[in-house]
Amino acid sequence: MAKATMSRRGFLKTAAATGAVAAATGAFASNFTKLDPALAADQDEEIVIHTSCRACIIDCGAMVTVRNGRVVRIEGDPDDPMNHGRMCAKGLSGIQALYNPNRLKYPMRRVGERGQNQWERISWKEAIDQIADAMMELYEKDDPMQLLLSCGGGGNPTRIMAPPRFLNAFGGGNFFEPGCAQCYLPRANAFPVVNGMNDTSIADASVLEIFFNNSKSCVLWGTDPSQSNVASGGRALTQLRKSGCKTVVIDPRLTPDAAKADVWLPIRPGTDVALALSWIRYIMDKKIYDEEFVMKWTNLPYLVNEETKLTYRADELGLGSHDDYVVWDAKTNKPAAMPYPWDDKLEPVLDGEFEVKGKKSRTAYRALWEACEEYTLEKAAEICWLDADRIEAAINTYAEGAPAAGISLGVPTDQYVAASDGPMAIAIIDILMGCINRPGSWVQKRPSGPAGVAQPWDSGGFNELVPTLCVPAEQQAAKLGYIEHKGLEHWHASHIPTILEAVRTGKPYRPKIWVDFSGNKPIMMGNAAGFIQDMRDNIELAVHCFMYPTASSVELADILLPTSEWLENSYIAYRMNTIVVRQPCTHLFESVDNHMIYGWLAKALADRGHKNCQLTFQDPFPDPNYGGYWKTLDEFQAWLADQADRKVLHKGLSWKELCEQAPIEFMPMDEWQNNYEQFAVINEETGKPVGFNTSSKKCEPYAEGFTVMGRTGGRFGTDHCGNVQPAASADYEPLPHFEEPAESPLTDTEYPFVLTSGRVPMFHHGTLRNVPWLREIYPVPQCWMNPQTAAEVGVQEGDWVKIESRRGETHGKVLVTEGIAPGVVAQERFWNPELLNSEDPSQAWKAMNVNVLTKNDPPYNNVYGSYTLRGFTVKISKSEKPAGVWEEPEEFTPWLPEYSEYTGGGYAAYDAGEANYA
Amino acid sequence: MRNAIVVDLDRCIGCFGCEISCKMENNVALGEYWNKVIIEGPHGTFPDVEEYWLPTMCQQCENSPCTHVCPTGASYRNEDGVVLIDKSVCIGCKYCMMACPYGVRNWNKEQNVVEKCTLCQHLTSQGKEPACVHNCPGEARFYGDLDDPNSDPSRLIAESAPEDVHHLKNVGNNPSTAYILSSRFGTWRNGD
Repeated sequence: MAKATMSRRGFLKTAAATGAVAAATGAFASNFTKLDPALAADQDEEIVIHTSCRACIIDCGAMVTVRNGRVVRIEGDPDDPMNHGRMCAKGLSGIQALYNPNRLKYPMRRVGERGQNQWERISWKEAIDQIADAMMELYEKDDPMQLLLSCGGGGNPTRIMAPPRFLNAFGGGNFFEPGCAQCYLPRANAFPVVNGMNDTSIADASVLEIFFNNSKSCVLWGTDPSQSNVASGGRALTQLRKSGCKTVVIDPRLTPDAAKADVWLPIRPGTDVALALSWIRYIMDKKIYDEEFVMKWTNLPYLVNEETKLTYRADELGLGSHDDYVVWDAKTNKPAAMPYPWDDKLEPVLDGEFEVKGKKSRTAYRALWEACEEYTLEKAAEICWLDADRIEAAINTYAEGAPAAGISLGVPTDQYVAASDGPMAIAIIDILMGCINRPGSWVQKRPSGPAGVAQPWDSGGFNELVPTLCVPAEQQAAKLGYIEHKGLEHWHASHIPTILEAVRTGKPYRPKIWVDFSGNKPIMMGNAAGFIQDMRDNIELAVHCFMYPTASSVELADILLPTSEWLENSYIAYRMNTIVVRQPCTHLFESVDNHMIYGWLAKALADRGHKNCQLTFQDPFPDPNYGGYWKTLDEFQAWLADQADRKVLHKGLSWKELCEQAPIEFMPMDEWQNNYEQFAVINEETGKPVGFNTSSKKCEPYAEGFTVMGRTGGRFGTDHCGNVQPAASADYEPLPHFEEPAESPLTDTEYPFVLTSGRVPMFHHGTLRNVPWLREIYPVPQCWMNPQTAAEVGVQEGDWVKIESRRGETHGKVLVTEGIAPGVVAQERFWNPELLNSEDPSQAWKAMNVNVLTKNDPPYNNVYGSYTLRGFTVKISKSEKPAGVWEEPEEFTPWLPEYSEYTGGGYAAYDAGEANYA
Repeated sequence: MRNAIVVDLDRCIGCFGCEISCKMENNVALGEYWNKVIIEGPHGTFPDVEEYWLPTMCQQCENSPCTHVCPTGASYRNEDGVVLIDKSVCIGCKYCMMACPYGVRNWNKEQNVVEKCTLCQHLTSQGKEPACVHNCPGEARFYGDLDDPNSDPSRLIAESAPEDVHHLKNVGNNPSTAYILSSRFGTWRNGD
């Protein structure tokens, strides 16, 4: 197949020339059984576009066949180093999402009450004008902090840094995302605090060592790449297992990866930290840690100032400079300054408690031991509902592979109060075993970062915008919930429960305008009913930007803006040593790449005299490393290309050239891979090893960076803009700690079962429930329960159940399985687009949505403010199938693709005008 | 020549991608399948359980009952030995569906004919792979001539321990499709 591409202009020409022909056919490929090969030679015009999927967040390289202007086939791109030409059910379904008859086609304005689902079509100009007028009034007469922007992770085309970027231009406001503190942010932020390198999320492409088949053992801790990023991480793990790598899977559910594991630990939801502490204790107790690494490359030998909770600096004790730390020297039996990286003349004691200037001081190692001492294997087994011998087998399976081993921590601890303690504890295990930046280790730092969340182009790039590069200190401090939960600043986010409280009470100020760039908030937010009520009753103007109407649109929105599917979108993403380019394969209706909406709103604000927004349209832009806003798709694409070229490729390629040449290797794979032991590389300027990205340049299993963050805003002593912020009301502790979940099956007699959630391979977050191919495989959510649980509830396989928590009730369909522990139930998030047009559209998000049950009240994780989406208690009773829910394959017929022609999208319908603000 | 699909169940991660690939490529109607993934398990008692996923499709039997019972010759074997259906000759009697030991033939409600996996003849005749093989995220599916020792599936079978090579239960029809499942990942439960 020819490697081909199309510019927008080129596409217009094709569409015009072949439109008449294309209109007659409706199917992709025919059902031939006998086929003359000659027929296969296309009589029609057919091109293959090398693009990138966005059905989940992993960006697999894709090849899309466009015949006579229509997308007719999706397949993987063999030039992509991660998916090797493979494509999963979600990605392949892009074709049914693109041509879904239920697409939102035009901007719409609500005419009935919120919740009544009555709309009128308006023009893009009317929509942008109405929103910009309201924003300008807010900006001039009220407080810019009252603007609220949100997005979501679910196959969501908005990059997570795009809303904060707009808030920078706007001059204030709050940003939230239902993942964020509940998904990945805690790990992305916490791991580097501890290991000075990287997190270990496979689903976010941080663990790329799996693509080299040199790991001897590994642990999948609450992650199932076979379902979350099937063709990339899932594929790599099949290869790794086949090459002999031993795997441990820690997951309450028997996932595909669990079914293939050498040791499966079906942990009780909500107890991950207790288990992790038992691993640390075992490794310390049995002295199977990497002693050389622990001594030389961690802060565990350093003495702790028990008053400040921080390790001593040498100047505190008059022993040396502030840059030096302090160890207990066995030779002299005294404290001594330890210069970086190491002083061979000293004999530091690793484990001990001493008297330093009349005060008790433990080594950080001893402090860690005391933090985990009570968590014997037996104790962990009791807490986690596991078998002590199996925990030991799991630890040894992992430890025997070290340092060519690693632990991937998935989302579970993000989803409850242990959001910082989980990654702290897991990071410590890999550090103790020396599984850091060695061949086969999963903690690595390579020239391309996590693929899912950032780019064009990482630091700088999407999240920052000159001239408003940094927000003023007081504006940062005014972000809702920031002072208490400073870890949220990692993605410039605010704390969701604090936002809702402000929406409800108006204190300290009431968010008035809300623009949401994601799918379906009640499916993703904890305590969905509370969220809906708070927002519906209090937000003055709610705008929902998505590809199709959802419960968010119907329940909450005043204006709907149609955004485009990934097959219509533009973006550039890392794939290890390669970049892929998402390029439009068509443009339907009046939909636009959602990133255009930020540009158009900024432009409309600039036209209304908003000075900061005017500055974002300077031409040429003062600092091209950031760039301003875009008025047209061409400008947006040119900005993407410029960012990629300036920061990664250095080849001077235009967007069109990128599209033609993608995927593009920016570095040979062996050079990209061979980045091992970089911490030991000598920095030519200092003559010392580069070390790790922490204050001590060592791994910091005694994670005092959290304590510093809580007191100042960042782990190096300031927030990301260099300001020192007020301290949180209580310190963030430097060592992990286990807390029994607030709602515990151990003590809850009214709600006796503990609920967890997790992925299925057909859907990503809240998306794709309107795709017939996927719904016919998985029409309604399964409620997994053990036969003992089913007997207790009095139900059988296929029965419907009502699941109740202290927040609400919803439904699921029973799957009786030995793949889950007695007392634990699991159900995936779900919603029913088919109910949006029913008499009670609310049932679309109420009927079978576990987030009606989840908990968004305290306790929260202190660092990140995470609330409880997993590991809370429920009761279950037999029920009936909710009315109107589609379950039979034929019922999904109304959503089968309806092919429609290229229109030029909303770009052809709206002119943002010229920008000249001299 | 004996073209068939061989599936390495050690690599199959139950993602159902092959079902969608097949539907996209062959335009199979809702509720109908030429290729279906069976969840085999979990067997055992918690937490000592086993589970694997079994993609099923026409097994390309050497002694195919479907072609024997077809009264019109609609079910036939082509010059390359591939079992196919000529839908223009099919009268919809469903004898072949009853004869097939594996239930992998599909009733096309709209056209009143029987159909099934064609090994994507329209692609393989151009030297391409069947869509399910091409897209399989786990790289678990292999297509080729089992009589050619250098074909992908022949090499997979040759590289596998003999006790790990399985077939669906053979009632004299000699299915060509093989499944690889090693004891590390599960116990074969679907036939010989």
